[in-house]
Amino acid sequence: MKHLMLIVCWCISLHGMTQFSIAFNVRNLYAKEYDQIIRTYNAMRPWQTEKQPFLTLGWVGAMGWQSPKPVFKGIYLQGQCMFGQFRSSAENNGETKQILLRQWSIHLGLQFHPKALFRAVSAGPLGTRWFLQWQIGTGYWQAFSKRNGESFEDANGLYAAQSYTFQTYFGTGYNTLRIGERIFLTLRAGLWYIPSITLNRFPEAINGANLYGLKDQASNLFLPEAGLSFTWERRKHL
Amino acid sequence: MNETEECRQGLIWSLMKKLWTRRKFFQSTLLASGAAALWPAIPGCKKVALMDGNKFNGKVAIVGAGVAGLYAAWLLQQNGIEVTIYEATAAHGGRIRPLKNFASAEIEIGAEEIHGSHSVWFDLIRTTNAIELERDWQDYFFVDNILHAENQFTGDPDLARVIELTDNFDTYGGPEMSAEDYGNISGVAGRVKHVYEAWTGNERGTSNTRIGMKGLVFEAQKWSSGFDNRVLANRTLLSIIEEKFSSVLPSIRYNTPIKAIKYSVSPVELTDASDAVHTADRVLVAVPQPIITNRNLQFIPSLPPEHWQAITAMQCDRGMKVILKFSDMFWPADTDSLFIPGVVPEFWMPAGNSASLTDHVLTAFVMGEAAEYLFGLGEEGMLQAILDQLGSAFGQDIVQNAFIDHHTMDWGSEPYFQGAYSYIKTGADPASRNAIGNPAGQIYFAGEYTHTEGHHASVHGAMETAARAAFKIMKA
Repeated sequence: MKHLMLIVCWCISLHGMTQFSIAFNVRNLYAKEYDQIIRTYNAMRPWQTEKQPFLTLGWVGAMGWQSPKPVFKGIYLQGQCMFGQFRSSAENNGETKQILLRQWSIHLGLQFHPKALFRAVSAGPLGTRWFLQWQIGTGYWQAFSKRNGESFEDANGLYAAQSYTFQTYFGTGYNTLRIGERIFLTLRAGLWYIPSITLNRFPEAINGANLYGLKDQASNLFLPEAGLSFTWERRKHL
Repeated sequence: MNETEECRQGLIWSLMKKLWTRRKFFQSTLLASGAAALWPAIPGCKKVALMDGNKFNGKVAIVGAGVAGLYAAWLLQQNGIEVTIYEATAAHGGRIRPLKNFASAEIEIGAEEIHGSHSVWFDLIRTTNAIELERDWQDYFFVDNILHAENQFTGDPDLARVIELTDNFDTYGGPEMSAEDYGNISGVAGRVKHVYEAWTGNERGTSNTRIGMKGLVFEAQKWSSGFDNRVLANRTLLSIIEEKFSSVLPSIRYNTPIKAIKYSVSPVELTDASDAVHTADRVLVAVPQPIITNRNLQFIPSLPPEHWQAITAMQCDRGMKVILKFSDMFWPADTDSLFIPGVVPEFWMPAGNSASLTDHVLTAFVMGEAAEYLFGLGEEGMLQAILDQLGSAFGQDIVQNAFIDHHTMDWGSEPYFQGAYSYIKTGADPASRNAIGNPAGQIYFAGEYTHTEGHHASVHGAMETAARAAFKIMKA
């Protein structure tokens, strides 16, 4: 939480100089190592009428900023802080078990139109309507479980698997609509790539134990993501 | 920029434009967004299956009808695998055993507490009508000839030191030594040494002189089930097992102790005490550790050295529960545990089935050296020693006059158990026991002592090893 507050303050401080945006995306996770952890959890509990689903569908909320002017040849600089969550929930015998995988991250990136790399293009306050986007950043991931809304804790507090990651994103977007005077709606889609994520003791955090050779490391994770963002234009067209 | 470059860039741009117009991009983005959102919800895209790739389709023999044997049998049966359980005694449940017809309710004379709420055992109990009690009553400490209630005594610097030490075994990084030596060099005062003994060695099935710091550190670092201990208020642990694993009970062959397993042949041959030979494609050995280390169960050929090393890195001492019934409750009514200097490190009020337990009952919980000492006194001498110890705190006359009856459950004297539960032997490397999780030929191992991740000496630990073995058999 401390990390998140710092990131929020950082973003707000940049707001004065830049164009502020918020985004909401849905995303998909496929990590066979994590699927196997949940599969094992289910296999040990055949009495469950509702199986614990895999961590598949997640959402992401992000706040960011974008430079109002290109920093180089129609290339706009962006920054973003992000919170995302994947959740698996199942109810059995009147009890709800949840598995949560959360991500806090910060990114820096570039937004550009390929044409702008080679020649001057006519662009609005957010750059060209259609654009490509590339970001790199670092993230903190946390996985833990809850029973009936209560997190599992041990003597040291929340029992969670944790990891720090490097991640990169490549995507595209379209500044679709102007809403009112200064708000833009943008559609986005892209792909995150995380070379490696090691959630130490992830099997234990979910199942209470790991005797089964389950891995807490997943490599080459790809997270497809799509959604929309709203950007507040700082000033009229450049 | 020269003309050639301009021409090349113009060509790339026009090509891109042809391939992907704005309208096309807009449509594609919407499609991609929709697909990304809906993909996980499409049936068949990602199946939440049970263990994938189950291959095994033969017969499995399970030796031992304790919780590990029963749970493994049940998991295998759920996956369509035929199992036969060979049980040496006339009863199932192993070290989960209630004492009937002694008091107004059945009393657990084996496993009693549910350690932590983050385990398959806890989850299983939650599927029944069992009512759990979290034991948050008072501990009482008899120190300096005064009985101190926990809420008034935790500020005592000597007790605080014991709490500090026992809560922080995971931070110890020094050389291997016994818990006794560690206590001595760490300043455990003589007046609270009996508390340190109860919370360290005795709780783990032994004595402070026998348990090593390496094992304590490993266990403390690996424990991942939670520290909230519970007991059941309205039913016994055995009744839970009987209810949930009822479908495998008909597969048990009682009074059939297996004395040899020949796994150099296929199918594997199991010879029982009457020399009858049984066969199976896979065998799961789920007997207590002393049955193997004392060679009551022979393996032909001998187990591989790495398996033998993993088994003998654990130790299982004599341990007993002496259940004492009194006409009066001379101890405080809110007692959880009593710590009185003497041969019994810990007494407690048995809470199993406590809703209907109206008699005044105490359990004397004795492990390791102390249990061996009491055993050596004989039944009468042992009882007198225990009553004398209680009398030292509450008055000899009061205790003697209130005493009605007792029952001794000495797990070390049970021929098919020969000990209470396991701990990591001093000097053993707990991290080098992984071989026990792998089969030796067609032989698989389960039971609390085979746990390699710090959950030995617990019911849920036994169940976890059973799942490990069952999954490996299914994939064999």
